[in-house]
Amino acid sequence: METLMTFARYELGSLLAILMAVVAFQMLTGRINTRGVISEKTSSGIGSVSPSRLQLLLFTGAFAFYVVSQVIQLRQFPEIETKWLMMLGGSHSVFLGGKGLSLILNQTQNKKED
Amino acid sequence: MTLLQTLPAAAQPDPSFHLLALVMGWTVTILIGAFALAIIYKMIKGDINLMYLIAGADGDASLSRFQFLIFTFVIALGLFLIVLSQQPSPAFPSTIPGGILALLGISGASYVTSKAVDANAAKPPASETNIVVPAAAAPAGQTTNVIVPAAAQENNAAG
Repeated sequence: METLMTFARYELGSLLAILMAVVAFQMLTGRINTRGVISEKTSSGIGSVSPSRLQLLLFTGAFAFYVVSQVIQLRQFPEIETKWLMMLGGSHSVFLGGKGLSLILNQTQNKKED
Repeated sequence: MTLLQTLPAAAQPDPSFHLLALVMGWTVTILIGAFALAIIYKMIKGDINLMYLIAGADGDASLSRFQFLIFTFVIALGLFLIVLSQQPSPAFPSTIPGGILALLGISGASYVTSKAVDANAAKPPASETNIVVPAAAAPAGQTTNVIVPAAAQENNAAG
């Protein structure tokens, strides 16, 4: 039974690591489309870099790093304080608000052109 | 009470049951590994196309999908490490803090909302909406002529 448990541990760990590595590698080499991930989308295509998208990307990276580092250190999921959750929620709200506003502006512009 | 008294103090595990558990354990572990390896092999080879893994409906990359993917990987990795670190044997954590659930909730809600905004953006304006009006039924006793194009007739003859 010990052998089986050790085998299962290595198997799941390896598979998870390989899956993440494949996705990361394909993103870096361009096989997974990352075009326009932090750019504003307009009716005419991809626009310039959007600050709301950039701040959400940075928040996401920071939170992901924090959670992973805490799990490695504590060997359990960390308690996340409410103020940090509110900041993350605010960051997402800014992104979604910007996206909604961009949609409204594009539709208004299209109506004027018609 | 009588039943409890008739049971032995320390029930000995059946050796054949232990063997069955071992066989099943190996079978499931090898099957899961084989399936996962096949999927990963197809991903690397390109048979499973990941090009639009984080792309929206317009084909460009979507930040909401990307952050959802990152948090999914983070939680999966964290859960894996926690399960392995449980003593004396691997086990799921007894409690998951509310903060982690809220984190996943925020991430998921943002993804869904973003998808709704995209769907609204893709909807054509009211002036371009096509309205299909069904043809009026022919009055009784009136002959209706159906004109079949030549190409269709050839197809029917061939069929």
